[in-house]
Amino acid sequence: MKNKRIIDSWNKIEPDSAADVRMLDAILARNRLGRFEKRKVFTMNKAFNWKRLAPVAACLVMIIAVTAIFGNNAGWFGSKVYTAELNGGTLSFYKSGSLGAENKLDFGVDVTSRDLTAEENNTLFGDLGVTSHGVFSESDKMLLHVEGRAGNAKVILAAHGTPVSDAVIETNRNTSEVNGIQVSAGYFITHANSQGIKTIIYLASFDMNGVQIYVECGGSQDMSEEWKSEIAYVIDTLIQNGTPNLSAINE
Amino acid sequence: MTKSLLRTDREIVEIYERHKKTVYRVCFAYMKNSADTEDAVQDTFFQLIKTGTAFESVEHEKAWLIRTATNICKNILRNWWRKRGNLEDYENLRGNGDIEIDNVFTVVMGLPDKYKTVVYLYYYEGYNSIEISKILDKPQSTIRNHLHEARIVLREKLGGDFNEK
Repeated sequence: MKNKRIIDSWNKIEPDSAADVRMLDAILARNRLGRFEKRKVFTMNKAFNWKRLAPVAACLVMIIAVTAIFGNNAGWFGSKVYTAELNGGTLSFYKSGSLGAENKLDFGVDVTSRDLTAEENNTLFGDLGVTSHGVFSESDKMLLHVEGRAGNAKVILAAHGTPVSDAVIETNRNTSEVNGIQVSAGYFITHANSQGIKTIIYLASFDMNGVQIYVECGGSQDMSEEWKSEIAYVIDTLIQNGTPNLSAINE
Repeated sequence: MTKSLLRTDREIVEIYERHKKTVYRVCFAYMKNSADTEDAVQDTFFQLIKTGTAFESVEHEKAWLIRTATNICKNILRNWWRKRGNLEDYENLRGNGDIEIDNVFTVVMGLPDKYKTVVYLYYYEGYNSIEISKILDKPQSTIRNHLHEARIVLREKLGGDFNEK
């Protein structure tokens, strides 16, 4: 014992019998109430656990919905649609398959070919600045097929009933209407090369009064927007120019 | 502490009988009157019922009740300070029934609150500073400082009445 005075003094401090009974009664009353409340809370909790899952489930649904919407637009699920605004309407590029098997360019007649002159290119393509090579029917000297370049874009004109390209392209059938012309446009992305670079190629085909027109433009995927703008400009100009007059040029 | 318990009345009575004087004395040192001490004691046991704390031993049980009683008293006093400008006026309104308060206990009640439980545990219960630090969950250095400072006050105010041995 370290200090008897303090101990003696503290020993005098204790509840009297009346206070003792009062405190114990209150404590036991609370204990009975506490047991009742704890049982009640326990049964409520079992039901409440399910209800608490409702907001969590709602959040999950929201997250999935938002992911689906943004993911779809961003092409996370492989179906992104690129669009380009043209003067005559909105052109949509749908994801296509890929370049398929090569197809032999067979015109069914004997042909000759040569580079078209600047004046002839201007006749066919206007001010697009195209340099091109033409294929003519040997017998009647008619222009059957033209393949040219406008910047990075490849442009092909083909007379009605002649093959357009030597490559079979798995295109999506969806079309967009530009100035009343139904344009089938798509794109495909190659596998990454040894340097990890993927190539995106935009392509479009449409028909103007029997003249088949095919346009293609592409390059590194990280410059996707530039290729899309370039092909959109070429398509828009070709449509604005009207039907190319193949009969104006002959061998 | 292991798991939460729902205690029977009999178990509560046993705990109450074991520790009522200890809890009452700790609370009285803070509350300074019997009515508020009763409330604080009840709140301490209400807390025991509410939390359903399980104890490893009777010593553990006692330590938990002392610490809880101390915290409850400090909370009550803190609330009073918020509501009332002069606590002394309020304390004088309450009586102490049959409890005899001598000059030594008056000095103990006059100690700063942070020393009271330490003084009780050291001088009355006979715990050393290491044991007190475990009971109150405070560093030993803090306990030793509180004891040292409390001892200075007690020696100053009690003079010859205060002997360590």
